[in-house]
Amino acid sequence: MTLEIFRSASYNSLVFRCGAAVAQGTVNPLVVGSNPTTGAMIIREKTPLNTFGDFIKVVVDIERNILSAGCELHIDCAEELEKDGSQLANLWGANAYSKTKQIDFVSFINIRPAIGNRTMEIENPEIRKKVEVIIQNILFQ
Amino acid sequence: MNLDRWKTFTKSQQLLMIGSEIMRAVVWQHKDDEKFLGALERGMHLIKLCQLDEKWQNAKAMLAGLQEEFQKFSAKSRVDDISVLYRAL
Repeated sequence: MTLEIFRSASYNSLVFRCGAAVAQGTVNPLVVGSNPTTGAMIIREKTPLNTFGDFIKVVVDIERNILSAGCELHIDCAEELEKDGSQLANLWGANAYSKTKQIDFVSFINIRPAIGNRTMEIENPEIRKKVEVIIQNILFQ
Repeated sequence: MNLDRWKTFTKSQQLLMIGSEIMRAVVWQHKDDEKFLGALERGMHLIKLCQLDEKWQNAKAMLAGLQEEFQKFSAKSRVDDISVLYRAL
């Protein structure tokens, strides 16, 4: 496996790339670009949740099967993913708990009346399931 | 806090300030109603300032939804742990 470490131009942070298969069978490079201001990282392959502490905020791209985690605010994680090419419509917020491996689907960014989500919780069971599966695949070992 | 000063902050900074009011409400929930409601009122004021800030032009529905949640706690139609709002930010 090759591993490159270089400095992100946008955040002056270290970015790691290595060849690896990721969740859902997609083969993509692992990219962990930690934003020093917000703490957000984009994660594309299995990373132990306890790396981040007991509780982390997570935003998932349900189309690209990747997530951003470890941010102070969900919008920070969402912005990281948008800069990486994600569409806001595909991004959903959640919180993950390492000890109990629980997930809640409560986030300010989930309020989208235009597509039928009127509260902070993800109301559509299919979207919830996708978010859950991606978090479990990437963060829960 | 006036609107001109509020607009000088980034969206993240603005949300963190709303979050600090939520944390104040967490401290006083079920202990001191006056302080609890005061924190919520201040939080709703800050949300209102966001709604007047052009930076939030594309996320007004989100702000309206957040404000609605504040109103539910303020009117006691929600009495569960208000820290859920902080986790949602």
